[in-house]
Amino acid sequence: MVIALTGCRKDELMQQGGGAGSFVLDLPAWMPAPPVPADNPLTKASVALGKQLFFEPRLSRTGTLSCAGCHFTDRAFSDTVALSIGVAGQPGLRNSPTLANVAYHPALFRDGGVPTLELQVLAPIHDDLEMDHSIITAADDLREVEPYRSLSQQAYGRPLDPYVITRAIANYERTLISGWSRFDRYLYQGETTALTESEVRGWELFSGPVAGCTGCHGGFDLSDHSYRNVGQYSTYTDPGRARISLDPADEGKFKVPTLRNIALTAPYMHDGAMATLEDVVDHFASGGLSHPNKDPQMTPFTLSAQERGDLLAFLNALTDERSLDQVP
Amino acid sequence: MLPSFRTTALMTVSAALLAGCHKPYTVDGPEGYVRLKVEATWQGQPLQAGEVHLNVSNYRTQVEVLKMYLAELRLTGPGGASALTDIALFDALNGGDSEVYTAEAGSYSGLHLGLGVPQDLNSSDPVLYPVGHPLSVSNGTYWTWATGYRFVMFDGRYDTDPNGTGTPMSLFSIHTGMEPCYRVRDLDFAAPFTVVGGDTTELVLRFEVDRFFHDNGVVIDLAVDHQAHGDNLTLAMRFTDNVLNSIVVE
Repeated sequence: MVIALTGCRKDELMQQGGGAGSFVLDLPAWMPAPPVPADNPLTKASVALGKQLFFEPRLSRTGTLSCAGCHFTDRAFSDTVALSIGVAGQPGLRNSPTLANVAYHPALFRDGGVPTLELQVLAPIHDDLEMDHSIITAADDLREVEPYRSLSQQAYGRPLDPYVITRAIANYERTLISGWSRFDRYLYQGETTALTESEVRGWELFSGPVAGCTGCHGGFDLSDHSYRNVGQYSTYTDPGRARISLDPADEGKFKVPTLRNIALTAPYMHDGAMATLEDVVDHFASGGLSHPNKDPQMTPFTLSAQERGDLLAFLNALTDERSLDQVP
Repeated sequence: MLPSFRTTALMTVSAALLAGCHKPYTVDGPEGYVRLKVEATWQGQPLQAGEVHLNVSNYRTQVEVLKMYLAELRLTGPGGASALTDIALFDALNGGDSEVYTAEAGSYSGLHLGLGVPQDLNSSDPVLYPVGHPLSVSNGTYWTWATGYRFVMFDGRYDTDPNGTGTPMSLFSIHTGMEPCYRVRDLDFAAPFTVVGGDTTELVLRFEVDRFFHDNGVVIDLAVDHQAHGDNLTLAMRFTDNVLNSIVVE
């Protein structure tokens, strides 16, 4: 029994980060802390390792595409094209979303098919339309390479392997916090001059009964993380949430995206079909196309030219330069 | 050591320390061994990858991949059950042999199995399994987008012209997965299956692949339904039933 108990204790210590220092998130005082799994606590070593891996192209089959190759830091960790191009030269199935505040998401991907950041890491590495590699091969190739060899030991007390890669990248992604935009200072920190008059009018439209955007884009993350069909198409080629739930009533529903840094994350929608914020605002004002699963909140509304401009000004005030890279 | 294996190791070590050499069986007797073999057949004859056969629709059909998970494998009988393993992955066109499992010596009348991966294992993290384990991500059986395993992978080619020649050019790829596609079945042996202490006995599960395309008069027409990758649940569930009903135990 002594042998068994000793082994258990050592194992737990390894998963706690081997005694490395804790990583403190750069959260505004008003912002709730994101959930962090008990078996993968945020440590400086794990975040540093995760950041290194996030920018590591050798996680792809050709050694040419890293996570950051489709999630650009200066685009709030989103891509500039409708569909990111994988190592085989083929486009992916959906638009690469921003990773801002991804730590708060109850499920990942636009259909919510993946429940944790740790499991999510596998998908782009193995997807033949993305990095088209094996996490096992990638780990074998990087295990003895510095700084991976030493950081992996510091962070998880073991050589680099798929377990370490998934945990470390997940932890780095948890640090991508957005809570410092001018809108945040206005709403949460009482800085009444942080927004222009036009932006304030835009916020009032956004949260008021006419546009009613906060019905889905509410809360501090400007998303309730639910799944909605917004009438983008009358017939969807992508089943959306139904791909996971297997429920026809979910066809064409996609996770409500955060609007944080929205000015940086064009093109928009699950397939990147809308090039500009103006396109998006006009779509929602139109009430969308007819579809049996269309959200009942998708009703047409009319905006004057000034109101449209105000709404767009507000959306542009959601940019948080400080959030673009939280790791020193 | 990872959590799931830690638990296993703890149980093993604890059992050894606390229970000495007591065997965890309900019936006394030495252990025997069972080698489970999966065979693919076409109208009773062994099926080889690349062979072309006419299916029920009179289509020239060439099977290239047939892999499947079998779960909850246990021998059953009036004297009790003996678990073989909770999960195994078979490549029916490339040997089809499983590992050798220990089993309680005795006589059994049937085999319980699940086709697919049961929910508790299907929702587990594949990176926790080492290379060589049936659930390791190295097997290429994991749907990362749905965080679950493909249960049956059936790929090949077909040609609707029965008089065609050469390699059929149309592709089919039917992969089942997700909870609604998990099925269990209890198979009865035609004659008692005896496990003798210290000996290895082979148990053959025959999958009659020609029956994958029809069951109870309902036909899967490849010209209409030739692809399921989590996006065609109706086909996946019908196919699952056909596969399950095609199994013959020897």
